[in-house]
Amino acid sequence: MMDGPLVRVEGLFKFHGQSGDPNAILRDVSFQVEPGEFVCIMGPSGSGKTTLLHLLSGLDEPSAGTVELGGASLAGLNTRKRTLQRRDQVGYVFQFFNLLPNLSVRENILLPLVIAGGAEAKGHAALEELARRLSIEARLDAFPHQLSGGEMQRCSIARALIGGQPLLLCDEPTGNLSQKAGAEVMDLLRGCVDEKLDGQAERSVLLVTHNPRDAARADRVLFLVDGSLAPEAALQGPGLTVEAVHDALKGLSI
Amino acid sequence: MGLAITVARRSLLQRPGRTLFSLAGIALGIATVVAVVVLDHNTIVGLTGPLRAAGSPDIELRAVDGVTELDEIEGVSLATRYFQADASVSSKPPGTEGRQSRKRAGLVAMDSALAPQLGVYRLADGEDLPVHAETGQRGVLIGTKLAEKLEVGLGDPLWISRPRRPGKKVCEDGVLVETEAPEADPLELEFKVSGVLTREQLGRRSAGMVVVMDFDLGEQLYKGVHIDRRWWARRDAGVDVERLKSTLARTHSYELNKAAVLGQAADERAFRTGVNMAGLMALLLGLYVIFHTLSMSLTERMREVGTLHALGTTRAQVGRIFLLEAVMLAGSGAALGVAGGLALARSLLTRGITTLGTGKHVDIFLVPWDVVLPLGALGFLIALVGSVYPLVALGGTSSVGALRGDAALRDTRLGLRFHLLYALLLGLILPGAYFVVVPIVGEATTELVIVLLSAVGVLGLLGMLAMVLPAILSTVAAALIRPLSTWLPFAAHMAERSIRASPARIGVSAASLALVTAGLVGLKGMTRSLAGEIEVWAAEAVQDKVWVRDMPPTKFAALSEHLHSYPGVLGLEKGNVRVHAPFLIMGVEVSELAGYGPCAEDASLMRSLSERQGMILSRRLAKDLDYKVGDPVHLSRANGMVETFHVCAISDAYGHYPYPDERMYGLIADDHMEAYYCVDAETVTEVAVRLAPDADQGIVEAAVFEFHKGPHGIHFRTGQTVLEDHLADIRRDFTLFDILIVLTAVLAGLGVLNGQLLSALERAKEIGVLSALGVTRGQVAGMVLLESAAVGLLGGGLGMLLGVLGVPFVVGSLEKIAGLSLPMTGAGPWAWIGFLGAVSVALLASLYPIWRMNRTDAVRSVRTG
Repeated sequence: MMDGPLVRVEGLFKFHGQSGDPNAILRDVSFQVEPGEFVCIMGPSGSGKTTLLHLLSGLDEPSAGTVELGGASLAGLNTRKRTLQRRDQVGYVFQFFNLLPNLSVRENILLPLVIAGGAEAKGHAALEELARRLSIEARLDAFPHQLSGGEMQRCSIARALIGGQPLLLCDEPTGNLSQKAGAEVMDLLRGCVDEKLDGQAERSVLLVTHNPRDAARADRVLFLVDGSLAPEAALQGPGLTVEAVHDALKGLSI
Repeated sequence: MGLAITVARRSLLQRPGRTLFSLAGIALGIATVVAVVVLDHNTIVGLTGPLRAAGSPDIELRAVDGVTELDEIEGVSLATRYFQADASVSSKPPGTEGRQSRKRAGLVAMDSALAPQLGVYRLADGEDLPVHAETGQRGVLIGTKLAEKLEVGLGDPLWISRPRRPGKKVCEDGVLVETEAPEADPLELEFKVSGVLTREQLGRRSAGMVVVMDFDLGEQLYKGVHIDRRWWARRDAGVDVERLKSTLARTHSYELNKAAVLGQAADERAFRTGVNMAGLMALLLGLYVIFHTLSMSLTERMREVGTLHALGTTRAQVGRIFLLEAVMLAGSGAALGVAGGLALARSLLTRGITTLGTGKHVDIFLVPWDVVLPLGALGFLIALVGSVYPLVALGGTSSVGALRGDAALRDTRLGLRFHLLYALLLGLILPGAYFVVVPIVGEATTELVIVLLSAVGVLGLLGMLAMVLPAILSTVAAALIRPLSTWLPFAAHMAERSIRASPARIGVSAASLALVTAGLVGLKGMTRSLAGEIEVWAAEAVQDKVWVRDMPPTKFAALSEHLHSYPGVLGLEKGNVRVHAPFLIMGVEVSELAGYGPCAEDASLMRSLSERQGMILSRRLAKDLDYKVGDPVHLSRANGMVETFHVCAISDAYGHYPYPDERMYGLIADDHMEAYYCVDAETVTEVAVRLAPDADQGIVEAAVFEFHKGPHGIHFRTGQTVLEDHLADIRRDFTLFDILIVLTAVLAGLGVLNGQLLSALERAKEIGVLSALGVTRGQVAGMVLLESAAVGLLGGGLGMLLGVLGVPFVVGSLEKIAGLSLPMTGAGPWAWIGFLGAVSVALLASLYPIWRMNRTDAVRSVRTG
């Protein structure tokens, strides 16, 4: 149990484009994610949601502002140190799954452990458990191109969970799935926080989506509009409803 | 066409790495083969030019006593009777004023019907000799200078006779005696000037003061006077020189024009054929690289094809795009290759590197466009076929399938067809077409054909392994790195997966490296055998010898007596008692041979030498000309007669002299040398001193200085330095092969690099995802390095194995082709050097792809599907 927030973002700016004509993707974004919290960030396409995730994971560097992960600032870290920080703190779930086509489902899931260099024996036990809970135990020896979209995303979630990182960053995880498969994935993500699906304590999920149904599963919903958070529209659970999310979006004219 | 140009140009420019390295592959392959061909052309033309200038025929023959007609000899054509003498020439008829203007000229008499075909002169003006036997005309060809001096031209009459002079002196029984007394009034005949010779070949003889006439007419002029009758003949194109020499030696004394046989000796043919094969190997590797690149990028291109179809582009339009791209790539590569090859050939020539060894000076630089252009076209066309075929073959696939792209190459039938075509192109069509454009050097003997077929077979085997059975190679490569998974779990795991996912790429890369490694190991094994042969020869011929040269004229007997008073001196050999008839003949004081070599074991040999016209032949001469003990050897005497000796021993123990360095020679007693060649055998300026194995070589210098009362500019050389020089010569002569091996290694490296680079580009998304999952740059580097190491280990290991197994075959073939006795020394350390070299090349080739992979934008990679 750590003290303080798992994620702390302060005054985050991100500019793209020429230095003389910068295009602000994110403007003065500040928020926190507490351990064991399920936070959703909503916003229209191009609002900067995915960029925000890249900055949180250390894949990209902010133009200004700070990001702290697990109490440690990413500012000033070189590429290698940011990579190691990401390896320790973050599990990533992508909209397009990003499974490695040449690896089997089992190998894809175990990949973070292999990258981290070891604990494979322990990993195999965790894998079996995760696969059972995610209902992909029968598909472990299949290759990505043999899976359905829902199966691929469950495999992707398993890969994000196997390393036991405290923060799960989910970038439109249901964006490429049918409604049914999407609902299953959201159940799993919710379960990561509530039921400690993999036996890990205090896992937080930061979900980026434009789907109100998915957002309603979160503890807290933040709205990102034109690169800035709209604090007045933020929703706080428990008991968030799809209607409430819709209303908030309407209020923001999204 | 606008769309085709735009897309093709963008495709090439937007993938600069792939374009550059593909281009480099084609260009370097073509450049190497063009350089080899141009170098060989200039070597032969450059070195034979000065030799041809003298106007000598390919072969000059003298028959043994009593033979007046030349029977048909295998390998000889256009034999014409010939003699040369002096002539007295006048433009005024006998008895007229101005006869004092008679000029002395050289006379060359040949059969007028055959002379024009010998290629020993050219006409500046007029016509060739009329055939006297048919027309009865007395025509004559004259040199330019003679025409000027006599102020005569075409159709003018000339009166020619032999000079009024004493008979020629000839060597008879060791004494120069005058031949038959000349007639008081030489016959003078009227001739008509048929043609004027250019100032080259025969036209250069006697500074242009020369007449060429029919043999029978020449004989009439010299009736009753001794003339040295010979035959001039032309060598049949392609005939094996060693076989020709052996045939000629049975019945004739002969002289082969160096220009006619330059580059045709067995060892030279083997060397030149080896160089040509190295050129083929380079061309093949270059095309291997481009085919490999194309097959690798097929998936990517298929998606592009699908997209273009989806956007409404017709199949014909798509075909034009890819054809244009292939033409641009192959055309630029071929043009760059031709230009680079010419530059490389020129650069090598200026450094004295030729296809007949190093250190030869060639002044000219000619481009044999009739060979260079077809070679460039061959490279271009095969690259083009290889580029276009995949698209033609895949033209029938659906747009949806093409859009999926990744399924394209998984179609086994298609992959097999694709690889089989490449195996056919590279393993059969390319070598076949290559030998049409670049003919085999010399006669296509059975041995040579077997060697060439075996070489092509090895290429085919590697091609088959790499292209048709890549899964085997990739499985072995994966197994090679599996043991490392304990220490480098991620890198080993990913490298293994990558190898298994791309068996064709791994197979082709490994096969390229194997080919070069096998080439290097085989070549070095061969040079080690050559060096071993030198060492074996040196142990008999030069060890324990000291050569003394530049002495003032010295009485041999006195010097010998003085030197023998020193301990360890076994014998002396005369260095300057020598003639060439038709090979080097050295005269020896027979009694000096008693202390060493075969004469020490069999004293009767000395009697054979002295009393029975015996001759000791060097081993190389005996092997090359197929002489055995007891065989007759016909030598031309100084008087033009032919004397027959008999081989009494074959040994290198006596007679080798390093000035000039010649290993083909015979030894006769110096009494015979004096009798038949009127050579002064009593006075010497050069000797070789044979010492006992444990003798101090310094005593020779001390003894000679004592004898001559000082140094007097006398030079000494020991057997050890002669051996070292011979070994250095081998190393130096094989510099060209070293250069070719380096070029092919670069090509193989390019193949690995290209494969890795394409893999890097294809796996950009994967690398981005891995980065998002926490993979460090070091881990990416480790992954690629391990993969490359596996390719290097596999290629190097396979190449080492092929090379080591191939060395006995290469050496055995060289023995048969070049007529050498080579010891089997094996490849020695070169097997491991080749192996390590292959691993190093593979690792070096992975550096750029690693850098490229680590520049992958992870953010961009994970954004898109």
